[in-house]
Amino acid sequence: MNTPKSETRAIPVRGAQNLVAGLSLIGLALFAAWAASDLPLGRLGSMGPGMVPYAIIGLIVIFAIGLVANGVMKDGEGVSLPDFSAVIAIAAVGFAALVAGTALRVAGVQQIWGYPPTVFTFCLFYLAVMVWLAVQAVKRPTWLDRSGLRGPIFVIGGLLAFALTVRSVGLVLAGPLLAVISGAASSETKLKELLIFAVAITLVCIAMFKYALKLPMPVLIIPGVIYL
Amino acid sequence: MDMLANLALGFSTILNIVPVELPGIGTVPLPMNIILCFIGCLVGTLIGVLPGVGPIATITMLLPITFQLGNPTGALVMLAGIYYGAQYGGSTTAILVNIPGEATSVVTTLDGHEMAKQGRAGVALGISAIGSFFAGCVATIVIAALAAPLTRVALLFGPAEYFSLMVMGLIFAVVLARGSVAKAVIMILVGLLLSTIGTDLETGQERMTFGFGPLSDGVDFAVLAMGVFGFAEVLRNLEVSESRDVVNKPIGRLLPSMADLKASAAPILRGTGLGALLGILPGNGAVLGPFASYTLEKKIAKDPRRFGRGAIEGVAGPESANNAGAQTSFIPLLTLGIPPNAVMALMVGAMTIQGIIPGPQVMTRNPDLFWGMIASMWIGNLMLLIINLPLIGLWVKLLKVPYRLMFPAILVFSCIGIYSVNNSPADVVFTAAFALFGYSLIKLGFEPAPMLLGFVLGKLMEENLRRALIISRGDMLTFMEKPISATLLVIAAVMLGLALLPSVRKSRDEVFTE
Repeated sequence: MNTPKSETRAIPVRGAQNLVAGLSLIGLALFAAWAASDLPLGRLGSMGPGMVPYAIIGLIVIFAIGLVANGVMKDGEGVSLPDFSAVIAIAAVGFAALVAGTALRVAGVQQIWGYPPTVFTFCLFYLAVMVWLAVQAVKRPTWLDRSGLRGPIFVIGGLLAFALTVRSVGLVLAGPLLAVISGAASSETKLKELLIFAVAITLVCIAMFKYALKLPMPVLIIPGVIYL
Repeated sequence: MDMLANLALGFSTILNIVPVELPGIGTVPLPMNIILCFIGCLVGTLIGVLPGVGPIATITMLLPITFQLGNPTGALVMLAGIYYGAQYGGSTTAILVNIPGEATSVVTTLDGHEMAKQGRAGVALGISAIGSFFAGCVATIVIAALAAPLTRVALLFGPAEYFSLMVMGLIFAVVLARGSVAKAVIMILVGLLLSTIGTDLETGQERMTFGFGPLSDGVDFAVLAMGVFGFAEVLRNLEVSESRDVVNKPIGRLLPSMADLKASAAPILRGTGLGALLGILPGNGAVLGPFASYTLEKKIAKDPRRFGRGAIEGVAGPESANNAGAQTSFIPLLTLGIPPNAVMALMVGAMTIQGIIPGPQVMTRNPDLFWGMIASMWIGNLMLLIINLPLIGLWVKLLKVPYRLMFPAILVFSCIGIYSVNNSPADVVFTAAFALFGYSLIKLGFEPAPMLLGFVLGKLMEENLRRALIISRGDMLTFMEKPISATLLVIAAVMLGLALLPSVRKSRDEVFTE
């Protein structure tokens, strides 16, 4: 693939990419098998809901073992850790958020702006950190570029910021937030240009989606004051 | 002359004039379907012409917007327009920037970009448009002629035959996919596995949902497609450093000279034939058309050395094959209900959301939709000819928009689209998760397109498998005892065996790396 060969910290295996691919698939298959463990298999003549998923999982495991064997025995593409650091980091953050969310639901707090207060503060904090990181990254190359985190973290971060704000504040905030945060994912971005562009694209989208296509989406909400 | 009557029905559907309420003007009678087709072609080209955005990404991006149209015919006509537009946009980038939008326009870069370097970009674009239009006309007639008989054949199919046909389709898709055969098979299996998430159709039991409400309807098609094709593609493009080779030479005149036309006439005819034929295959046959046409032209040319140095035959043939194949690949979808490639899988998604289950019954139950779509293919091709040639200057300007501005716009646009499908911010989060998933797949050397095909076919395959086995009381041999089903499975096995043969494998790799 497009992995730069020179910088890769290759794991000393002949075809690391196939090995990792095979192992991840086995992991995926195990997870699916666990998720489907409550489903009855039935018989061939009258299949239960579990039969087809289990058959597919079985086939995936067979091919995954083949990939692992291929990775151990044949020379192939390498794997570089920065390629996956972002996925691992984001998955970890997501998992932490899930655990925190479950804990808060148990605590039974009231809502601010449709969110529990702690989640609301978390969102504000998250958005502030994302915007700060984005501004930092736009000015000069940082550790983000070297770790391979830059692309995924800003694109995914931008998407999450959009999801968090589109229903609570509206497109006026969600659009520019997404454009600015995700815009920082490219190392060629210039801050001023990006800011102007973010506002422009949002205005175009509001005109097109809200007024031309008449989609029911909030443009600006300030509770008790305005609802556009 | 059933065919003519049917085509007449199709054209009357497309030309149908409906009163539309315009704000400020009042009710005006407008041919809505034509307008939607026009908008589709225009927007499809507009987005498809952006380098690094192929037809799959373009359609995924615009899919949520067509969901908003209440009328299924209009939505599908618009989507088909978007597809042709995106396809033509891909050829434009191939000629002007040397970046193929997708596999089918790879061949166009060889001679098309050379022509552009020699200052003949206009002629290359012109002949590509003319060739595509001719191919489109022929392909429309082929579809209209084959649709009715094939549908009758499809009605003979029982669950066992359907299952075997889908197995064959998936195996063709594997054989024709880029890269390792094993990895393509795995992608299809992962797609099938994803399709089993949600409520089981027969027992009503929830499968692999963890009791999580939004998952009980299954993984949302638009969310999966947008994450894996739209956003993961953005992540992939961000890593490729930007060096665009936009030709600085003037575009030159668009209309080919008499000599050019004479040189291209035969390649266009041959390309159309090859493309139309290969496109009908239930696997992703359409990708083979341009390659086959280029190889053929090179082989029968008096002076094969001209190829790769700006030979007009090397643009005319493959471009016609490309468009013919793009269109005839609708045949398996419209008659059998089986999408042959990822683009057609997106069409299935769109049809299902509009409440139409693709299959042989569409022709009898929704004849106006069926023939309207076929008529719209011809109209779409005509529009491309009308839109593209005059607007070429605009497309060239678009090619110069830097990616750093393009992708935030793509993201904002797509996010609003995906949010609007269910008005659910959670969908945006799911899309982000699928983007990470798709990005990891790409990093592990998987090509995600077959996954979408597996995902779309999964439910249908399971349903038919279960039904077939209920009928045969659990006897797996039923698939080999029925003659049609057995033939299909044998063809599939032979294809797979051939693909794994070392000699064929080598030439297959050559075809795809060229």
